[in-house]
Amino acid sequence: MMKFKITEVVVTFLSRLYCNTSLIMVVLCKANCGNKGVLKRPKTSDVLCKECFFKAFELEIHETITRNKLFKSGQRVAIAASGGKDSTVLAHVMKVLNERYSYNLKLILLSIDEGITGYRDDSLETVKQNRDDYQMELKILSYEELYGWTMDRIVEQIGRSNNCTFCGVFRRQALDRGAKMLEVDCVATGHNADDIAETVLMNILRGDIARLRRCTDICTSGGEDSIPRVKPLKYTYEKEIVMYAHFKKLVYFSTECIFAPNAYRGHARAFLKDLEKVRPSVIMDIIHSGEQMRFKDTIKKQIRGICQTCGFVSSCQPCKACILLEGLNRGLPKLGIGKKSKGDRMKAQQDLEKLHRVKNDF
Amino acid sequence: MCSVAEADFGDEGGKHTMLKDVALNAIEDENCKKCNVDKCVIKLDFKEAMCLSCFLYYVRHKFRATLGSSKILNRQSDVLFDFKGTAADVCLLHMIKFAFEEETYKRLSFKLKLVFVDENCTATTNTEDALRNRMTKIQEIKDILQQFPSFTCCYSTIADKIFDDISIISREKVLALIESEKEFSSVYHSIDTLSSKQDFMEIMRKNALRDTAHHLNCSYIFLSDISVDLAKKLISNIALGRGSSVSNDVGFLDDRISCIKIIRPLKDLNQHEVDSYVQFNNLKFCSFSNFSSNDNVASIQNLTSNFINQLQKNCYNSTVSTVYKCSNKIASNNETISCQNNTINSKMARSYITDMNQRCLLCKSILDYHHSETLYAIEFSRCVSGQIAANIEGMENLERIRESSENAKNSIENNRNKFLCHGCRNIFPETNQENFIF
Ligand SMILES: [Zn+2]
Ligand SMILES: [Zn+2]
Ligand SMILES: [Zn+2]
Ligand SMILES: [Zn+2]
Repeated sequence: MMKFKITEVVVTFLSRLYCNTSLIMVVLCKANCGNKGVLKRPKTSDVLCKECFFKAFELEIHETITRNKLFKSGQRVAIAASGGKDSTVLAHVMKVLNERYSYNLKLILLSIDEGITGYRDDSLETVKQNRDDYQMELKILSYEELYGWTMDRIVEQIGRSNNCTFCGVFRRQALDRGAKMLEVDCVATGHNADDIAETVLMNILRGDIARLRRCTDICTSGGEDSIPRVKPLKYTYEKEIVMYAHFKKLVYFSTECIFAPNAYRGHARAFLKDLEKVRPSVIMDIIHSGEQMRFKDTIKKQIRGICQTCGFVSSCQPCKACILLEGLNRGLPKLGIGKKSKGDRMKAQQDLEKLHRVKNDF
Repeated sequence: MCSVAEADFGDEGGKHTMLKDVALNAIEDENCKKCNVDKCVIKLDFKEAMCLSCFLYYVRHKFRATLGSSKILNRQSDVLFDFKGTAADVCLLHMIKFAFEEETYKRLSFKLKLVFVDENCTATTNTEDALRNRMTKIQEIKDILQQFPSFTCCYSTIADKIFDDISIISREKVLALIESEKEFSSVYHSIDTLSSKQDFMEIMRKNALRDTAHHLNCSYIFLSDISVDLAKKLISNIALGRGSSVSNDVGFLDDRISCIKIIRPLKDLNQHEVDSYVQFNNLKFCSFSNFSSNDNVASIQNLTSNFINQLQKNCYNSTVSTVYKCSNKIASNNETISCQNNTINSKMARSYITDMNQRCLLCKSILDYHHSETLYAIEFSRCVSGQIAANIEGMENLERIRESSENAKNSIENNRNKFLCHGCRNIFPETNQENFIF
């Protein structure tokens, strides 16, 4: 069975990790704890023992949370859980920190089931494992129950060229819906430093100033009615997340989505990895740059309001999810993909045809 | 799953950057649609095929529009042109010459001086080679300038303050320069990565240009950057941590020092337009501009350049125009340095800036570390490894780590870093070049 195939990146990374380990056996942990160093932190190149690495890793996240005031005592917090390494580590660390520093938070796992056979069923098993390990409540919301469509059926309709658009738009809203159902105060997502740096680059490549403006924010909220999203792993390197999960022996699911991964994002990711090889600090440097940039006032700010059809956060009317859904239900799946004017024409055309059909019946 | 940052990124992939029909730039044997007089000679992306005179009118108009819309120059303005002899340089110079010779009502008029800034001092340590390379280069520039006899060009170097006319530069003079540039060259060679070296040279070139402009009483500097240069520079400068000054680095106007403004009048032209302009006018230019062509070595700048070229070539062929349009939307977060008593002479300007206490000594942009959570996080990571010790418990320890992180971010104990922006700190992570910078 190929289900639990670990991606190549992880394998090569871990093998390199062990090579390093054998070389630095004699070095003492930099924290002066007296133990031998067993690993080299990708982020700072410091040699640490396992215990000190855990502590450093966790303390950094704690510092991010407290300095940026991500949570308040007594809050209900949903952790967006996909079963992947980022959300698994996030759930684990949140539980540890909540207890160690008495955050007094009620943590709940929130998962979205897109309905992708052979991918999501397996990763949901991992999430259920997390639920049992961490003793947290788990809520699974499916596209099927929210929208009446699974990704499998959507792909049947539209083919594989635009499926990531549907999946992304629906998941974004599904998290909002789930958060509302669970009555949580905020949603914590597993976006790490690499993800954010990559997104800065992507938004420049797409010329998307509105998203460029907000993609480095550690906390995003759409306005009064919406539930804020926070990124406690904003300053955590992907490599360290893999390392932490590995040494803590955390169970996570690690395959790419079986539907064609986004080729363009793939280019940006490969580019970022190349940059990181020549300058490891590039990830933080890009985030810093993203935060420092200012934009001309003439560039209109996207006002994020509420979709009048479904009542969830959106910057357009109706929201993208509603448009895509209407397209699927009308049998015009391309509706939300192109320009709005084109979509309107397609709808008008279909309405006209329907009218004719009705007339002909008589 | 295509899991990443959905809320921050509409997952439509790279579709937006693909042209509908990968424009067949073939020209059919037909009359120009604009004038209906001449046969077409060129087909630009997103445009109909054009005849020669319509094309020349079109690109010259683009240049005039970019320059004119800013209303920044007037008849009395003294402008210094950073001339390296590239195709874009020659194109810009030819356009300026043409604009100077137009009929009165549309004539462009300001005073133009050229400077060739020699960067050769970093290329080789062998004096014989260095001398030969530099004399060859000087001759090459002189040959190109013969096409423009009405302009004078002065010779300057990135390391030294010399402002002689290029026509009178002798072997002896160059030999003396090579000797005097040893300090600069040793600083350059002490920088440990190519990314930092390239970044350093870029900044020092700007500083040398400002020095020359000051010496020649010019209050404007022209650079010939075109859209592809700016697209690449936007991305590489973001990767270098220079987000706070990027609008000055890629925009039409760099006014971080208000009495010497850097202007990019060719920013709206693309490579195809420049190459065609130079070709149609039979203009001679240097095919390579860099002495040290390290193009094959990995650096942030070279990787970025390759990345953009690859995307552009492989079916995402509006990458450059998308990224470059993005650069037009970035605003400057600088208040400019005003130049009281004309203190742009760099040593004086440096001390002046030091008083202001908030400018980077090297690149002159506003210091960007004071309120940055990200830079704090970087320092926190560094401090935590040394002080974490798993067997020590308690908040007291955390407070200590916090304090040292905050101090490191603000460089309380590092006199040099205190006056450098984050990007410039990255150039000299370990080396001790205080004397040079101050
Ligand atoms: Zn230790
Ligand atoms: Zn809606
Ligand atoms: Zn014509
Ligand atoms: Zn600087």
